Amino acid sequence: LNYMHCSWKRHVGEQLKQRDRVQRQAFEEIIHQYNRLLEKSDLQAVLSERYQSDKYDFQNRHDGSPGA
Amino acid sequence: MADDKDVLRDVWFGRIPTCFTLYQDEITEREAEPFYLLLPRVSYLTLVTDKVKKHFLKVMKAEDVEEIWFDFEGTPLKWHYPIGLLFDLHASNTALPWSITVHFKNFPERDLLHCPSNSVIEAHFMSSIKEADALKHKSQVINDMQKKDHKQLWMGLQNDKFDQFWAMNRKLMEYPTEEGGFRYIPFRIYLTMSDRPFIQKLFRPISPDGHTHTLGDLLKEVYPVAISNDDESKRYQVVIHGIEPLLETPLQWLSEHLSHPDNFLHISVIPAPSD
Repeated sequence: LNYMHCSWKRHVGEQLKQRDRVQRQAFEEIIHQYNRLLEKSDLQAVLSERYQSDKYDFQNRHDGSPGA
Repeated sequence: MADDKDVLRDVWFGRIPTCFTLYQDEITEREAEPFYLLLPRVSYLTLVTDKVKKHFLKVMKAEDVEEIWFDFEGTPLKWHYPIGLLFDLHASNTALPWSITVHFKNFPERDLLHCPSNSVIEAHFMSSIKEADALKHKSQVINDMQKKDHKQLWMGLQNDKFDQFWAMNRKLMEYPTEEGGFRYIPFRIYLTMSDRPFIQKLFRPISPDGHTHTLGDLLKEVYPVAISNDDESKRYQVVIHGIEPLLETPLQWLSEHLSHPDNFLHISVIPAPSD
């Protein structure tokens, strides 16, 4: 069965390529970028939480020291 | 043939863009961003969503978390159906990305099977392959394989290794040349508007008088409503791996090239969109 002479086979091949253009290729890059952004914002959340707690520790130490 | 190998690769590497959001009634400590993922069509939801689970667990209290499950527009998604089938059956004509809701509570016992670990998915996957080989070769090929060969099929799927999987799977796709095909074609036809989960019957790739059976022949025999007459507009779409093969496509070739890794042809019959 020659590929070019089987219209049903060519149809399957073309449809699969078309499907991947619409469903995979159109979204691959933007999903990758979004996930990088999500990782960064998670990191930022962790860092700002740590910053907040450090600030409290610092303030508490100073407020609690008599005669300061 | 190189072209046939391309079809196998395109089927294996098919992806569906998906947006996961947490169900509104779940109690969280802070707001959860949606999570986006390209889901492999040939795999299983609970096998490829570890990252999704981890992402949403960050905003949940441990005591509010039960078994994770997913729904699409209120329909619980069966993890034991391949992902591509779930999408084709429930969501093919909706806008992309596929919008899935994540739940950690109120597991729908009547609709879904529990999935406590990946070994449950493996057992389900292997039992499908065994059922398919019983139809194709009276179980001869799968029984002649060793335990490590079975493991290779599963590890190939789990780790998305096309070559590893097909090195073993090609044995399951062989048949005696003089017979022109498998004994029976492993297929399941799914209908959206039905209480039956799917239709499955014995169907041979070659007719008694030696004609090659096509996808159209199968539908005529099993679910004739799916095929429209020339004088009426199309009522149904017959979808496999997100595409509509021509009805004259030989069933044996479809079984060899458009089956899922579980060795079944999963065929969705869905209402055609009315524009």
